[in-house]
Formats: sequence, C-alpha cells, structure tokens
Amino acid sequence: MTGKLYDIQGFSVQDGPGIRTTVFLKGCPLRCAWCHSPESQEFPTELNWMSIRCLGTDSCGLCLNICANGAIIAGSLQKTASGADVIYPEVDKSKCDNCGACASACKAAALYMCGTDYTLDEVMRRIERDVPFYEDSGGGITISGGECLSQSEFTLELLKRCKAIGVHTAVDTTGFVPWATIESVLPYTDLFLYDLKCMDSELHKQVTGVPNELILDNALKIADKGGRFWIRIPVIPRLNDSEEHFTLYRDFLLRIRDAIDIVQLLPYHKMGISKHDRLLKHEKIFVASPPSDELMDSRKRQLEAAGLPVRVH
Amino acid sequence: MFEWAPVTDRIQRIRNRKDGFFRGERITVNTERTKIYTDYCRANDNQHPLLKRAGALYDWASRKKCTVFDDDIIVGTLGPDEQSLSFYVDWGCRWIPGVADIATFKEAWQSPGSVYMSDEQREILIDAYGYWKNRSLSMMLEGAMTEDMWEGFGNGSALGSLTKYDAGYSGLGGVAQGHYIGNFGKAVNVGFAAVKAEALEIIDAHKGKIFGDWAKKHLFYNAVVKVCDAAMLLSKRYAESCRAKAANTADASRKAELLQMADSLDWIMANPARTYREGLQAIILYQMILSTDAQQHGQSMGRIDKYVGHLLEKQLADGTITGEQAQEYSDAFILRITDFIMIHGFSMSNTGIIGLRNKGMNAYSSMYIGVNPTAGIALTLGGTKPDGSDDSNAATLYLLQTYGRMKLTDPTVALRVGKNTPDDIWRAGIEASKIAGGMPQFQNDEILIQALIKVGLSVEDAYDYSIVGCVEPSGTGNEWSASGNTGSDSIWNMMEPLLITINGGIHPRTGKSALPCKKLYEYDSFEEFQAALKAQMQYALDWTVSYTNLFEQVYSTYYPCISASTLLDGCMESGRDATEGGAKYNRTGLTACGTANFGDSLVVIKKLCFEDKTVSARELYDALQADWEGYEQLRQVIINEVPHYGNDDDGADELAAWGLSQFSDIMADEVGPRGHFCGGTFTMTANVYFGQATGATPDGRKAGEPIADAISPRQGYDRNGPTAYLRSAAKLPHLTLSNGDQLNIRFTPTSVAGEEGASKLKSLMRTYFKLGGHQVQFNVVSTDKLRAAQADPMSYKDLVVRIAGFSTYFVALSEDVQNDFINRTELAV
Repeated sequence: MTGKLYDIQGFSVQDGPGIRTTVFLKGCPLRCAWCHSPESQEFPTELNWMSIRCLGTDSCGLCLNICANGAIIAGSLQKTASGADVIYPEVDKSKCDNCGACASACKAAALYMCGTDYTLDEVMRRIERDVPFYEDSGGGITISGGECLSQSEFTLELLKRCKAIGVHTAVDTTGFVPWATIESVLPYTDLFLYDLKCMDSELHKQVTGVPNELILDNALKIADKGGRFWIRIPVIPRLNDSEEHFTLYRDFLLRIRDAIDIVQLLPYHKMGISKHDRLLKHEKIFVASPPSDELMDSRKRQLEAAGLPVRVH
Repeated sequence: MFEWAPVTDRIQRIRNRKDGFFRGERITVNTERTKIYTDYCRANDNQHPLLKRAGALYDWASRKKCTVFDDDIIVGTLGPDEQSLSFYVDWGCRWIPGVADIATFKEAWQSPGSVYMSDEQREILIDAYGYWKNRSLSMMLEGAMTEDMWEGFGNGSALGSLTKYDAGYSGLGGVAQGHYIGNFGKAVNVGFAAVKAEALEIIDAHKGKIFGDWAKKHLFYNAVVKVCDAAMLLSKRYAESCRAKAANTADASRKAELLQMADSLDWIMANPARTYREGLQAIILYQMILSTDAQQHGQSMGRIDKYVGHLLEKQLADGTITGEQAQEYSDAFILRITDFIMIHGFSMSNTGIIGLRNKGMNAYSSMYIGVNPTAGIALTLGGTKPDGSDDSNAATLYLLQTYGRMKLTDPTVALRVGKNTPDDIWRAGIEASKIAGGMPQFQNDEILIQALIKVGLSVEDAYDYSIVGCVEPSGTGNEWSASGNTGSDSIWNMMEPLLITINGGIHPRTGKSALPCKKLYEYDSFEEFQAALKAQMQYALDWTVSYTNLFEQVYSTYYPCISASTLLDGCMESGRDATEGGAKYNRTGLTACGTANFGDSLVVIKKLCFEDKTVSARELYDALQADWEGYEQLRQVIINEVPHYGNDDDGADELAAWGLSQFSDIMADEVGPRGHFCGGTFTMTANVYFGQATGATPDGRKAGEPIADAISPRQGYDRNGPTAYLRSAAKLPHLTLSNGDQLNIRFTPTSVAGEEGASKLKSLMRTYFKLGGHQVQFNVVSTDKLRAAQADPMSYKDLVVRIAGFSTYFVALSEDVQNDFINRTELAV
C-alpha cells in the first residue's frame, strides 16, 4: 500500500506535544482561500517550478524541447532578484499532463514534481529514525495534509504501525470526512489536531468550498467517544477574527470542553503566496495583512475567560 | 515560570561602561607591562629564562599601578586603566615601526572613536622595539627555522594557513600557545604561601647538592618562589589601594566596603579564600598573573562554580551572604573578566587601523571578527561527579543568571550537562543562551569524560574536566593541553589535502609539491583515491606536527610559562615547567575545518565517477579547474541529486565520518616533546577565510565560497530538519575527537519560545547527546532580524550570536562572516 505524500518534516514543534515528525499527505476536499500549502490541495502529483533555482533557458534550457505536449517555451527577458538578465521557461498548465519528463530533465530541480508515492515501510523507516527524539520530549508523529483522512486506508495503517511500536500519534484533520472514517482511526489516534476554520456554515462554504455541519458534528462525536483535541483556529482577517465570531467559537468549544487539551490560535500568514506561484497557477488568491499581536492576544483572552486553555501558535 | 534576577544599580553602571568600551569610548592601550618588562629584561639580559620570566613578573607586581575604580567590588585590571588593550612586545614587535609612524600616528590613535594611545606610550613602544626587535619570541621561532623546514611552507600543512599564505612567517608569534586551564582551585583554596613553602623546602634540601639534571629544577623552584611572591605582593598592593580609596571616600557604607575588601586582599593569595567574594577575587588576581606572564590565547579559568561554590554554600547556610549579594559578586566577577584584553599586534599598522575606522571599527572592535577579545578566557559550569550525580552547586545558577542578564560575548562559558543535571540548571542555561547566543554552550559529560579517559586522564580527573578556549576539553589545573597547537596555526583546512590529492600532489594555489600522487582522472578506483588522500593527510599533518614540535623547543627554552607551572599539578612534583612537560597530563591539540565539504566531495567522486559512472573523473577535474564555469549543469546535479552530509543519509555521513576519523586517528598517533597530539573540529571564522583561499571543490562549492563551519552541514544543505542533522552529526567519531567539536544550530524565536520551547530544546540536546553527540551551541534569532541588524547596526548593538568557538556581537562581524552566519539554515516550522 502506498500513500501520496508531499513532505515529511522532522522537528515539527507546533503540531502536537513534544518533538514530532509530521507526515504530509497530498490532496484535500477543501479549498481554503488563505491555504498556506496550496501544493497539498490536488490529489495527483503535479509540476512545480521555483524561480530561485532556475538557471534560465539561455544558459540551460534542458526543459525546452522535452515536453511532448509543447507546454514549455522560453519566456521573455527578465531580471533576477540580483539584477542579472535571465529568460525563464514559461509553462502552459493547460497543456501540462504532469508527466514529470521536464522535472527529470531539470538538473537544478527548479522544475520538480510535488507528490511522491511512499510505501508504509518507507514512511516507517523515516519515523523510526526519529524515535529517540520522541522519547525524551513526549513527542511522536503527526499525520497531516492536505486532508490525511482522504487517504484513509493509508493513514489508518500508518497509525496502527506507529501504535505497534509505541509512538504517540496525532491526526491533523479538517474534519470534513465521513464519520465512519474517523471512527476507524479513533482507536489508534492519541490526539486530533482539529481545524475549526469558521463557525458560520454559509461563510465556511464560501471560503473553503464546503459547509461546516459535518465538521462540527464529527467533533461532537469524537468528544463523545473519548477522543482528545487540540482545536486549531486559523485567525483570518475579516473572515473569522471578530469578537462576535469568537463568541460562536467559545459556545461550540464549551460543548466539547472536556475533550480539549489546547485551543491553538494560528495567525494568518503569507507563506502560501510564494508556494502558490510555484504551482504555476495564475488565478488571484486571498491576501491580507497578518493579524496584530494585540488582536491575537485579545481573542486568546476572550476564550480563556470561558475557561478554555488557549495558546497562540 | 522562569524569571531573571534583578540587576543592581551598581552592576548596571559597570555594564553600561562596557558598552562604551565596545564603541571605542574611553578605551586606551596598556603599555605599563611593556615598559616594566622591557626595563627588567634589559637590566637582567643575562638571566636564565626561568628566572628572567619570573623576575619580570615580580617586578611588574611591585611596580604596576593598582587602580581601584568606582563601583569595584572585585578589583584588578591588567593595566592602570579600567578598559585598555595590553601589548606583548616580547611576543612579537615587528609591528611597532608601523604603529609609531609619526605621520599617521595621531589619526590612527588619537582621533574620535579610536583606541587611545598617548605620545608617551608611543615613546615606550619605540624604546621597547629597540630592545626586543631581535629577541622577541617570534624572532626566536624564526631563529630555529633551519633551511629544510621552509620546505613544508604552503604544502597543505597548518602553518601559515590562517594568514592566507602570504603574511610573513615571522608575523606569527605563538598566539596559539597556551590553551590550558590554570590551577585556579589551588590559588583559591590553598594559596601561594603554602606553595612557596613547598618550593623553598625542596630548594633547601638540595642546597649545595645540585647533581645530575637537578640544576634545571633548581632554577625552576627558584622561579616558582618568585611567582608566589609576585602573586602575594599583587594582592597586598591592591589592599593598599583599597585603603587609600577608602580614606578619600565620604560615603560610610562604601568606605566600610573598601576596608573590608582591603582586609580580604591582605588575606587571599597567601591564604585560602574564606568567602565567595574572596574566592572570586583570588581567581581574578591569578588570571592577572597568568595574563601578564604570557601572551597566550585560551588561558581558560575552568570550573569557577567548583572552585568557589563550597564557600558560597557555607555562607548561605550561616547567613553571612544574601542571594542578592551572591548575584552581585557573580555579576561583578564576570564583568571584570571582560577587561582582560590582549591585542595581538602581529600585523597591526596605522594604515590598517585607519582603514578599520573607515569601516566604522577600531583596533578593539575589529577583534570581534575572529576571536573573543579576552584572552580566550573560557569558564565552565556544572558537571557530573564520578558517582554519576550532579556536580553543580549554588554558584552555578548565579553565574548562569549573570550571562542571561548581562548580554556579554565574553568570557565564553560552557555548561557541562549529564544524565542527572537538574531541570533548573538546564532551564537557566537554555534561557541564557536564547538571549545571548551560545552563552552557555552545552557540553555532554557522557561522551567527553569517556574521551578524556581514553587519552589517559584518570577517572577522577576526567570527571573534573573543564573547557578551554572554544570547546576543547582538558584536565582542570593538571594538564598542559595546548589545544591551540603550540606556536603554529590552530586550525587545519581539510580541503587542502583533498585538492592536492586531486591535483597530482601539487598544491593548486601555491604550486608547492606535497606527496607525489596521481591526478583525479588517473585513479583506478575510489579506494585508490581514498588511500592517496589518507597518505596526503598524513604528509601534511606530519609537517604540521614538525613545526609545532620545533616551536615547542623554542618556547621551553626561552619562554617557559612559569606562572602557570607554579600551580599546575605535576610541575612542583617534577620540577619542570609546563612547556617542558612538567604537568601531570600533556597533549597538543589541532582542529580541522571542512568536515561537510570533505565528506560531500568524497560522495560526489565515489558516486558519480566510480559507482554510477555518469560523470568521468576527467570531466569533474576539468570542472574544478574551470571553477565550474561551463559546468553548471554538472554542479546542479551535484547539488540536487547527490546525497549530502547532514540529512541522515548513511552513505554521505559515513564519508564525512571517514574524513574526520582519518584526521583524529593520525593526530592521536603523532607525538610531541610532551606527549601525544589529538584532533578536534571547530572553526572559529576560519571557514570563511579558508574558503576565500580555497579553490573549487567537488561538492559543487565554487572557489572563494565559505567552507562549512565545524560539523555543520554545508550552508543550506540540511534539508531534512534538525533531527536528521543531529542524527548525521551523531555519526561522527566524537569519542576520538578529544580536542573538542562543535555543533551549531539556529532556531527561529517562535519555535523555541516559552517553557514548552525550552523543554523541546532540552529534549533535542539530550537526545543528540544520547546518540553520542559532543557539544551543542544554539542561536535563537530569525533571518529577518539578522538582515535588519545588517541594515541598522546601531539598533542591534546588543545582538549576541554564537559564531563558532566564541560568541560575538553580530553587528561587529564583517559582512562576509555575517552572510555566512545567515546562510546557515534557520531551523523551525
């Protein structure tokens, strides 16, 4: 069995307790406007391009004649960040079938494929190397995404394998999956990192593409079945950062209060923008100024006043 | 919740004055020692070196101006001024004509922002030059260079590498001598009266019966007596100064304090210290003796908390000291050490200094680039007892508090941690280091103690080790560890034998012949290449050792280190100076630079040329000759498709470990006049300077680019995060690196914030140590902040970062070193 991953990260220190290894699975049913890892959204492996690595088609050009669909041509003359002249390749995504031929040809790894099929054994070998770090810190693994439960069989087997060697497990999920899927992983999941992106279902649908009833319902069920939570709220300017909106958060969180270890408030940041560019997509994306420390602090205090354990980051 | 103790007004005033020091305000040069030593040696030119060195020291103790400054509770400065740079003309003085040059003198030394030298001080230097120009240590070293010894110059051996191969040989003068832990415990807890009595008894027993080789010992013991007298006299003279200052002080409590200080100074040095403050004071006075006797780097203090902790604990128990006082004494003690500045004048000139000023620096601030400005006075705290229990005490936490609150770059400090180090010590160390990068560094007792037992220290002495200079472990007060490779350069560029092996036995830059061998494209197998490389390393290191051993003869003949020998365990028993091997333990240490580039280069040659055969060795050779010009695609393959050290790739890590093992194994077999050599790896900022002088290397590095520091992966090549980096680093042969090694790691502030962040840092270090790691030093600073500091230095003048073996103010670094630091991967989520 294989899973499609787009990254494995050691020393992950904000995805659950202790020092963790986070396994990122590719593909997600949501399309959050502010997504900070847009490369995780699509399920298939896809072509990316990073300008900073590219040598330019004039001095390199290995990518130009390799594409069977003619999706890559030399672009126009530009300046690099350091002021040198360069001609970058231009990729016509509509012609690209993500076959990977250009990425194989690119020695500088400027063109690269995001999404790699890993077997369980391969992932476990990587995890086992980090076990000494979990032991001292009370850490473990976090399976994240995309939406890791969209690759539910792989996630379930990975969780079982980790529990079998005594590794603490966390599942980072949007909650937008059938209850049966969650129920199947529950016995092997020590902690759910559970996203509550927005409390208003209409707005939720507008900014993520899906409504939130299933998500909230699943949260209540997890709490009911004894699951543990780190609730994660991305604080997005103008969308969910108002005091009123946080009153809605508060009321819901109090319903699952006993199942919550921590409520994490994650301030919106702009890191997703450069990743979006790498995907060679040109549509407009959501951009805002990150929320101020003062705002983060006041939302934190608002939830704390209701007796919830809150932290920022 | 972790909290820092408050800083008293007095300590804050002293601390503020150090800032002025850094900016070139009020800072002077110290020519007092120059004058006293020149006068004495001129008048006693015929004295035996042992008697002359001790006699000059005593003369200094009797003539120096013993100034007590406002706010002083711990007294003692090398010169008459609080903040001055001390010259050591007897170590080398070729620079004097360039500094005395009348046309440029005022601009270099008497203009705003410069270190101040008076006309009178200039005259002292000119006079000194007349006496020392053919007698200085560097001239003595040159005098020992027989014609055949010049052959090895520029052939890949360590000599001259740090001076970029073109500074004249006589520019060197033994800064690398020293690097040991003085026996401060004995100075504090036994005192010089007892030592003097012991020496006198031995002299008396042999009176008129000097047989066999006793004559040298006879001279040695007489010199010891003189050093003891000097130490006791110095203390008494400071007592007088305290009394004189008390007489002129109106404030009753300050008057009483000064009189109490005078009483203490009358007692200590001759006798065992009775209180925490007396203990700290005795340490400072002995450091003055050591730092006046010799211009050495790495005259390290060792386990301060161990020397004086029992005094503090007794006082805390009987109520004769408050916590606040203990903190104030600790602060004052550390702040005093920052005044111990030696200036290594060897290549100094007025034009150079004027050039520095045009870059916003002066003769003092420029020192921050390459070393810590004190004489490498490293402190060691914490530790483990032979029964495995924790060996920290009440003083440990106070001294760690000092580091977290004072934001100093100097004196550097190591925290020894073991399995049973308590949480509060870990926490204070981590919090201090978050604020002042790398202060303290963390040393793993589990590995270091084993490594020292392996090189011959007794179990008890190994458990009592301290850190010298940057990261070098040494016996405390019982070893002449010479971890800076006596008289020669301390750091050896591993890329040199590699390039020579590629280039047919010819050094590619100097054209000098080393061991004849094939060119890269002529080897039939990777194993053959490896064997040739090993032979080339042996050849270069043999030459390095040859220089060091020759210089050791010069030191022991003309420049015995009598102040250290007076107290070091073994010297009194053997009647021999430490430079002659009199101490209980002896080693000489060298450090290698280039682990990651060396390993990665081997991976490239092995994988591409011999295993996959996708690149011919000829093509790789040509690419190196062309500095990758026209071979960019090959370079990209190397960067992106070949595994690199630092990513937990066993194949790559194994070759890095192989290189370092060859080095440490060769060193362990080399023998000097006092004992064996040993290897370590730490780089100061030499990885940048070496890089500038090193041609293209097979790992894809272009000519002139920095080499990776210490055991770090190449800048930006650790792509799998800190756990993979630490696992790679743990595979290196730490147990054989008994001259120390060093792991740099940098975190973003949010990733290690607060209690949870501190706990994760602790876990990360503990796990690395459990896997076999040696040492960790970390910086918590974001790339954004470093970039901001480059753009606006004045707003970030207190930003302390750990560079290599020393911490420094980031804004004081040169731009290339700053960039090298920034390019090291910032690790966080």
